[in-house]
Amino acid sequence: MAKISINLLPPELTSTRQEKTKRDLSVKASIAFVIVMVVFTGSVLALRLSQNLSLKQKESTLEGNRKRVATLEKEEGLVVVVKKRLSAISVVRNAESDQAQSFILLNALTPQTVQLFTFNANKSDQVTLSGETASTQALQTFFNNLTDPAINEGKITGVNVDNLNKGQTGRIHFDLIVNVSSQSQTVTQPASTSAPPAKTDI
Amino acid sequence: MKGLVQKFLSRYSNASWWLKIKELSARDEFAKYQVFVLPAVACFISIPLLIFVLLPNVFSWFKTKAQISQIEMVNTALEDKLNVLQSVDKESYEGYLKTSLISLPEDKDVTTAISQVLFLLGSSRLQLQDFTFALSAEKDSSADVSAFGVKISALSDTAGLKEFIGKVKKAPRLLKIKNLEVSGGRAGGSINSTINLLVYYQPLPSKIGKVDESISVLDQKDLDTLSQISTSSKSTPGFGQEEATESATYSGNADPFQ
Repeated sequence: MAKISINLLPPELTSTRQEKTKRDLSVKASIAFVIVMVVFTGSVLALRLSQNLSLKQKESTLEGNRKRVATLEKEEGLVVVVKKRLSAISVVRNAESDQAQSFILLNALTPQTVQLFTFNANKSDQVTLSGETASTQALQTFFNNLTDPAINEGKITGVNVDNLNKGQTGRIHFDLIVNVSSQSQTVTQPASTSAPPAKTDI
Repeated sequence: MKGLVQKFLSRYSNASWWLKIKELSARDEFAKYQVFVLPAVACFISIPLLIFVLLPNVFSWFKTKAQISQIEMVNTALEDKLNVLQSVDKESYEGYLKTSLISLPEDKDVTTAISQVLFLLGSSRLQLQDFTFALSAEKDSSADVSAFGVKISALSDTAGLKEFIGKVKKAPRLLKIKNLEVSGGRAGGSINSTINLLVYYQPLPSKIGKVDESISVLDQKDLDTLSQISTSSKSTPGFGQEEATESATYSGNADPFQ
């Protein structure tokens, strides 16, 4: 048989009870929130404290290591000075003298029957030279050697003919300005089938 | 807890601020908004706690963490440096320094430079005609070295000049050809060369750097350079060779005027 329930409590009492429940809930929630905030803040502060202690310890270790390194300053000085010095020596040795290389290069490109009178390498990328030859073909070969990148391996970037004339003796005199690229390397003897072979002497 | 509250009440029950609070709480408005009072108080406590305590400490925590990482890195580098320095053989490195000073002395050492150049000229069959040197220093910033100039005029053949150029590159003292002028050939054979050489040196540093800076020991490339200097100096008179251990004995009249 179904139960019949009758609420005899007055409605004011019910609403009062509801309000009291709401009030209690808000009080508990507020107190819980404050407690959580305080606990969280306390944890963060404790973490910071331990972190600061760790930082101090690390700094102390660092200071100790610095002092130990400072006691080995003589060894450090030796190593640093020797290393720097050898690096400088290596840099200078590996930097080819452009003027010297230009001399060797142009020597190799000059045919046997072409005679050079002056060679002047005062700048790292320019050579002034003058010479003579009796053979037009030798002169042609010489110009060819100077201007053909396949023969001079791209080491010569330009040739200016300052002067070219034929004297009464029939010899052709020339004054040239040859532009060379920096850090030129030794070139192999140029191959020439019909022209005279390249000479090695000025 | 109850005892504490009773103690608090008995001590402050007649305090003016407490009476004020009691008066406020008896009001109808208080009863109406009572449910919001404690949450408001909680916010009033929490928000300053968050802004002035929590957040600054959280940011500081991250900052300090980065600081600790940085210190740990420096510590590790210093420990590595210590290991390197403790393994350094001081005597060997002093020998390396002496060898490197053959090639790149700490000062101009003009005497050795002159003897070196004269030896190279002689061994390449160049006949010296003129020798001048300029003691004003030039700086090579790429290698952080200084140099002074030496100007030579010499007579030779082309092969001799080429030989000289090759020997300059391999000389124990660090030399480099700066300018080269060659003339001649009309009479055949001899050529007149004017060669400007740079003779390098590097003063010893007064400071070696900071404690925290890392260092590295010599590698194979450095040892090869040292070997080259050592080999070339042995074949050049006056460079790194042992002086004669016997004292010089002179013969002849001690007093020719007697």
